[in-house]
Amino acid sequence: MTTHDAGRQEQLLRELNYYRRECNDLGARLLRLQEEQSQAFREARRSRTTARLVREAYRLADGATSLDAVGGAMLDVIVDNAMCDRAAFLAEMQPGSGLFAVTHVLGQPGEPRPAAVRIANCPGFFFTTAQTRIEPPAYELTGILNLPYILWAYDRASGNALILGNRSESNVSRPFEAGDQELIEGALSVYLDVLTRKQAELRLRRAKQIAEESVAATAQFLADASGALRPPLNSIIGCSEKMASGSRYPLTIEGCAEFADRIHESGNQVLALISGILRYCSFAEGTLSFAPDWRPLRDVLGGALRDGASLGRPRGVRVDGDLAEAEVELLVDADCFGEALSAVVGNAVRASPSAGRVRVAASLRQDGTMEIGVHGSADGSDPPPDPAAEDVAQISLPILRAVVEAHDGQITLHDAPAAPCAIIALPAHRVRTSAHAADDPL
Amino acid sequence: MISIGYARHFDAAQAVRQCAATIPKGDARMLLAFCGGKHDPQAVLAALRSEFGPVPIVGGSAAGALCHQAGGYSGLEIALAAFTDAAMLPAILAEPGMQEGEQATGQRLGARIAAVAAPGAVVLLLFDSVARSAPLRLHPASEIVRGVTAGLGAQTVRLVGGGTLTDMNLSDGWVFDGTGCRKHTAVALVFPPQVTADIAILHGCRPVSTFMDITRIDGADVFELDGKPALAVIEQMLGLPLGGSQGQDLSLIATLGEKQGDPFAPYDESAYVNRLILSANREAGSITLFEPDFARGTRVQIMARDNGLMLESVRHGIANINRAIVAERAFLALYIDCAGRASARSGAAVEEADLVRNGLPPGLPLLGFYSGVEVAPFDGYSRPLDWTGVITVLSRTP
Repeated sequence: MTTHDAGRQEQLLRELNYYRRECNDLGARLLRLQEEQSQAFREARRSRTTARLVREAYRLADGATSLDAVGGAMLDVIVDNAMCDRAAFLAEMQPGSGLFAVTHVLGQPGEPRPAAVRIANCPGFFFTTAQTRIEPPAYELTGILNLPYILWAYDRASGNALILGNRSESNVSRPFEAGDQELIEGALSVYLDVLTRKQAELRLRRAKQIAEESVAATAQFLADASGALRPPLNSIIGCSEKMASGSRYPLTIEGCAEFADRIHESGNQVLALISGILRYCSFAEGTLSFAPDWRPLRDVLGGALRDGASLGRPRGVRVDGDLAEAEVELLVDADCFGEALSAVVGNAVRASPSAGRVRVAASLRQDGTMEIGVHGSADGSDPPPDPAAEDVAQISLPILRAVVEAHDGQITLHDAPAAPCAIIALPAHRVRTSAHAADDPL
Repeated sequence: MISIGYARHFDAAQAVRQCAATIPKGDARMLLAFCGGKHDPQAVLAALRSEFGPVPIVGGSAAGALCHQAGGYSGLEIALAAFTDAAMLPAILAEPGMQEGEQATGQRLGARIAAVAAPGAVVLLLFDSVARSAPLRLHPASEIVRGVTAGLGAQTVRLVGGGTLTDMNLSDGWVFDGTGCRKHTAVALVFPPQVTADIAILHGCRPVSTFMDITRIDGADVFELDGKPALAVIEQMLGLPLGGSQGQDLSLIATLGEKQGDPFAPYDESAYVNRLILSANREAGSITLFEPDFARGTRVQIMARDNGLMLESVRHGIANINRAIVAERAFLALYIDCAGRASARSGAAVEEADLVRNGLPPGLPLLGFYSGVEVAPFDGYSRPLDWTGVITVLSRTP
């Protein structure tokens, strides 16, 4: 190799090293620029998180069908926007107790949800990083999601809390920091706001539904009442016209007594209907005074059975009582509930064919609730003679329902032609056995 | 022939019901299902069986999922492809035991594939990527694929696939193997000979250094580049020190790329095999790659993710594959997308998966999932790829 060639080679080597250095420097700058750009975009994305979260959260308030669904859907939105591994909502069991129930959790597949978490000196805001010492409250808080890195916010006024968790501080996740307070408190605040809105919406829906039902029931009641009053009033007018002076009806002493009986019976019927109407109005206005007391089941049903038997006797309709639960007592307003039961049994008697049978059975269920069934029977010689019987049942229904609901119970009517029946169910807190009566005074 | 279902819901059963709403009842003979890692896989399986009956279910966890209509990576997505045509159903082969050895498992699976596959058959390979979360160890795709290749012997197949993840932080992964949910298991779907595949590999990395030789390496741990501590070389390039957990952030920033063919040929993105950096070890001055398939003497370049290039590559790849496929014969597009390409990780202003969703023909059923690693035929044989998107369009032969 000549000196010239050697010099040329050295020159080329220097040139190569120069370009290598420049290439690496340019590459490094490109790499850093690329990373800065990506970092800026990721930060911008994070800064948009709260705004996006708020927007999406309010949208879900319209879609969620229940309060419970709001929690799950809200966590969905939070996890998607905050890009965290797990998240949960907690609710304090007693205000200020520091004992929380985990109401909703997301991202813990296959792991049991902690039943309750106690957090002494519960902070309003908290987060953990790799530098955080695992001592209270970090110890308790990291145990909720079973993750080392958590972000926590607690709203003392409502007792609700939100916690986000990450497995690591790298890759997509980044260490939680004080600046995340806005995100976590914003998310919790939006959740509470959405929850309140949803509660208000559900209350309004319920109120609207009740109002609509009430209006419909009142209209129906008035129609039924008019229809039910007409037959006995017609009977009174018809009989009294025949008995009036100047009547051309050939009136006998026996006939006069029969008309007087009919007028009396129809008058009583009208009076009962008007009492029912007044009671219904009292329920509607919420002015009915109520005096519940523990009464033996036998006494409560006894009056209804007697009234029913008396009503059915002329047509041979038998009323049987199956009082297997003789030791049971009911917490009811004896007059009001007794009248309602009498009306149910009376309706069953009226709807029964001649020589038919009505069975009244009371049974205590395993869960402590009481079921009183009034079962009619299609067996009998003739169809029910009283065309107004159905009307009476119709008019009674709103009253019955109101009375039973006032006792926290429910009434269900089954109008199967073969076996019409009414079932009245009373909750456990209105039922007790006589053996417990001494321990459980009213 | 293929019906797609997609939903995102915090309740697995509800998500499955929403998916099932778009799939005709009673038609499914096999389900390919990818499910966000925040769902309980057993709950998903139960819901799928409730909706679809006792059909085989394959697939697995996914850092995210997509179809034509939507996509996401919250961990709550579920995407399904219901196979309805018996003639197009693949044979399902599952081989557990990766925790005892990925290559041996791959070899057993390869032998079973060879026994049932027609020459050139399309094979979809799925496996759970995370072997252990603390300390993190992946099931190296390169060893699985090497095993499969050895097991195949003289048999040739078109092997595509991916490793499943539960999230983008490499927390866990699992697969559905046709009978249940499994860990440490490789699953192969061997398609019948009347199914062909058009495959496009979408890249997005650009070299930012000159060539360097790996001068010391042990498995996936690279200790030296050109005789200098590998971590120091990377830090010098980045212009900042990496400490502690920040080592994992490297997977968001740089890769090591090995250029195939003539090293001095003009830049061609498809000439590079890239390896993501899993972590860094300050004490040892080393970096750990996703795969242990580089060796001493391998010439590499530091590669930067380039979001612009990534989007350009997607557009280019989609255009190529749209030209290649025959609409009447194509019946399913499968997109296996590296989780690192998602906007939340890459920092790209546009979701590259959105370009795929919008770029493929709307009438072609599309199912996609975000993966830990991708496997595709490259430079003559199938191998694992990092930071790529692999589009596979399955078609019937005429």
